[in-house]
Amino acid sequence: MIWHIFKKDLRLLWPMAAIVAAVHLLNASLLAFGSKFPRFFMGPMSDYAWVSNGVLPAISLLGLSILVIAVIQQEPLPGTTQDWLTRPVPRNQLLGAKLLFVLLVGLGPILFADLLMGSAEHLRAIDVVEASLTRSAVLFCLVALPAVIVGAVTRSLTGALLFALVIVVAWVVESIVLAASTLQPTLLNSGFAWTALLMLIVLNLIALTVMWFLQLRWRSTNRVRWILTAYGCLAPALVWLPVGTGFRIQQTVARPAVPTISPELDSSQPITFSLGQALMSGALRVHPTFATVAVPVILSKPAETEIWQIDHVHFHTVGGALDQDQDQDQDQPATSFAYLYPGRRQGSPPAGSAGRLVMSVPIGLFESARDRHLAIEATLFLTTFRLSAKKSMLALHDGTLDEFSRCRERRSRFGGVTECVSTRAVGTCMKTEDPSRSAPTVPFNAFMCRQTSYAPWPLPLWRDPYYSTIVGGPFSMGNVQLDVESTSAERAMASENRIVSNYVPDAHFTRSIVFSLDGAAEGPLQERDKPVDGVGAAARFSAPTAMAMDRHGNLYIAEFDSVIRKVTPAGEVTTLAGLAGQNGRDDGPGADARFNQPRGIAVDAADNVYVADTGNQLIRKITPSGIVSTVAAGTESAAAKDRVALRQPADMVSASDGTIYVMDHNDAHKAVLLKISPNGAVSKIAGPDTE
Amino acid sequence: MIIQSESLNKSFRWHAALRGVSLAVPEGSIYALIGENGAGKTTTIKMLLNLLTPTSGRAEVLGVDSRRLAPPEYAQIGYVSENQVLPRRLTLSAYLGYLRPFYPTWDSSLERELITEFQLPVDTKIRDLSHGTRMKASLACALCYRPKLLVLDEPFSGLDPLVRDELMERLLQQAEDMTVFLSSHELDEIEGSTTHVGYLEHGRMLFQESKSDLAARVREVRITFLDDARPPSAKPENWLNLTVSGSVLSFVDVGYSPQALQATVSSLFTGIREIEIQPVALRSIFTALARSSQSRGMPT
Repeated sequence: MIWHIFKKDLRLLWPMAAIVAAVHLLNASLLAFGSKFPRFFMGPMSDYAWVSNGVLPAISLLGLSILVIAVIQQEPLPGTTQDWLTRPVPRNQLLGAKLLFVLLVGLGPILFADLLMGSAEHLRAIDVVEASLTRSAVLFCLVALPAVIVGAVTRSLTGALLFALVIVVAWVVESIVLAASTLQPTLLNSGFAWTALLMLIVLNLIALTVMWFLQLRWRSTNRVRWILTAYGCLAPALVWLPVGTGFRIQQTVARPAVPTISPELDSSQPITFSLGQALMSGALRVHPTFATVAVPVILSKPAETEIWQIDHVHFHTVGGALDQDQDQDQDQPATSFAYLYPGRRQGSPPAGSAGRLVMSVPIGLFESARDRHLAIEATLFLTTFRLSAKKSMLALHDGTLDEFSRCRERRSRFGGVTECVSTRAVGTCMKTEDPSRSAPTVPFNAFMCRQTSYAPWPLPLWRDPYYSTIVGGPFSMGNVQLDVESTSAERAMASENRIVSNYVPDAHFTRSIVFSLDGAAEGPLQERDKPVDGVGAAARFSAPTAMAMDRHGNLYIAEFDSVIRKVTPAGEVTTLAGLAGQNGRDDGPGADARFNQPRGIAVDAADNVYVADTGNQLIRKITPSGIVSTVAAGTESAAAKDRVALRQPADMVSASDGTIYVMDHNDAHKAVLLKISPNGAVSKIAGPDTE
Repeated sequence: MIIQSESLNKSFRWHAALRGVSLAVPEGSIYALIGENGAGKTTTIKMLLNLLTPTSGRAEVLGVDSRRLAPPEYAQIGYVSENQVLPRRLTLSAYLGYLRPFYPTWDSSLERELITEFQLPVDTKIRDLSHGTRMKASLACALCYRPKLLVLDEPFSGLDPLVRDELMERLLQQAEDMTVFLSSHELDEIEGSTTHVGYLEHGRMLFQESKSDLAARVREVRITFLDDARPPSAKPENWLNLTVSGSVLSFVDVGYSPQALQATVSSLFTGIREIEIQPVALRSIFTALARSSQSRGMPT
């Protein structure tokens, strides 16, 4: 009889079901194959992102809800005039038929679309199946079940939408109150967030059971409506009060010892932490390639600056016997930068003040430690590099730019914003550097990308009870994530009024920087000086990175702010070339020329100044008359494979014959010594082969 | 008794719709529940079919407490109401096909017969059917499985007399193996065929009995006096519609027996010239009852 009722419903509802299924499939196809569509077809990709990550998922979830409500309302429960009520239709079988319809016709296409999308991504079949099933299960519990319940207490779609609206409004209001009342802890993508989700699912199942007895058995519609409205209003509290209380108890009972750290320049600091400890501190983010962990620390010495970039971290797991082949000693500069936040206050934090160390742990190590409950030891190599607040920079995301395969620029109050999408990620990238280059093609561009969602196929619910980033959640088709990562980072740092993000100076490595959200003046980060020309005390440097002296005793100073300064023996400071804060690669007379974060400088016998224009991957030359030209360039093109590419030229000296010697740090942080002949030819003198 | 209820009460918030309704419908009867609009007929039927739950009291249908009616009982009950909502988007043939497996006693040849007889357009969606056709379809959907009990709630209201007669005729054809329980505010519709009558007024069952008993106990009485008639000083309770016109006093006696009438009249009046006693048509009985209840005013 279940099958019989199911067929009747299908006969009535197949047009609607077909439309909803088509939306699912269209969205999945856009996500999976969208990047392959010709540009003229799809237009600017941000439109596509808007559709495939905004509108279509919303429509498909709304469609699913409406379809479920419609199938339930084929046999409306409230009221006394329905013909079916006096027919010998067994209630159990009726419910069975409806659930069968929800599963086969409602969720079936979603499962199919997810499988299709996963296959198109060439992921492992088992992962695809696992993640797709997880998402379908979550959708069933968090979307379909509530729709079943709403459909059971209403007779028309309008009534259902009104009823749902009342509950949603109640829910939103209560969530706002809860969030404001500190009852709801910041859980990020931790196991606690997972617990909350599970509680919500359990509550929904209980609500369905209550509805089942009260409504389908006894048809006390009014009572069920009141109970459900109350449930809708109380569910956030029912979820968050126990979870939040548990979280707080655990925080109190199991508070880990806080390690001390001595922020001295050019030193190495071992620090051991567990992931649970990171969780306690409320900051743990899992990315596809690394995990960002915030560990509370106490400063054993006064920190001279507010933020330290830890140049280089050596990680290994400790506390358990490791198999030889699993010993994950990792030394990955690409993902292992760390920062120290010594709390919010003006000036240098004194000894004993609490800080927070944020590190990007390679994902392999992270998973190894997590799965075997091991601690991680990180040896931090501190450098002098200091970043200051730069208000215009916002956010950014991990990964390589090629994931953001299609981008479109638009202007915003922060400057140029490039919105990018790919089949796996969607985000907003803010171009802060050379505006003349377009985003995806030129790798050496600084992008600030704010990832709004990410949809690979990571850990399903049951595989990772502790630190799971739940993907396959209900709220966006294909790319589902319950807690958007950038948002969680914002929350994590909210107490310090900062955004942590990852900063990609080029396509090859990722590092993190810190910004003050509300402007440098109010934050702990002091605005660094702007370059000011002048004599003696009147002059200002902003961020000098290198200097060299010519035979007359003039000093040439490269500044990170993309200017080259000159200091005469009399102490007069002038700007030789470039404009502070303006990045670019233009050649020409001094003030018209542009540099990009130079980090090396040298002077030859003829008083020509050579600049390692690190950000541009160039070596620039400034003649005594102040004309800037490009001597040697880095290249990424395959055609130039026989040549040695400049990656991050930095320290340099010049020989008397005009030959320049440059230390070039390639992307694996392996330094190479290069020689650049006066004619511009680049050759390698020493250092490992990189490619 | 195929339907039996004891002091059924139903209140909707402040309004008491039914007050102590007791019903007894013998098996094989055609029972008409009569009452004005709003008297509680539909409420009674809905409680009998477990569409509504009584506030107090209980009813048994087919020997089962009405609140526990389940598919096995529903398979033997046919229900047709003018307000019944059928699945509007199904065609009639699809709907019949959908219903068929639910009823073990479904008679497909009867189904075909009914379709032909009622000239039902089986491939039209139910929402496109006219009111009359929809009622015929409803009735067909209730007759195909030869129910033991057929409950009709105002089945003929809004139908033209031709359709009404067609339906009634069809009903009577099948009436011998089933009990029919129907409600109406129109007495004419059903007068000829009913065997039992119940009269519901403002949620109270005024009386219920077989039609023959009813006919036997109600008489129209005209008393002609020698001089001008005067109303009696104390009116007996079972005298309704008392009118005085010249020397004639007329009323309807709803508790008629020759001896009792004789005794009452002689105790109240003198100077009687003539007493005429006539049987009353069912319709007049109800008119009398209705009018007298109105003159008494609505009970609260």
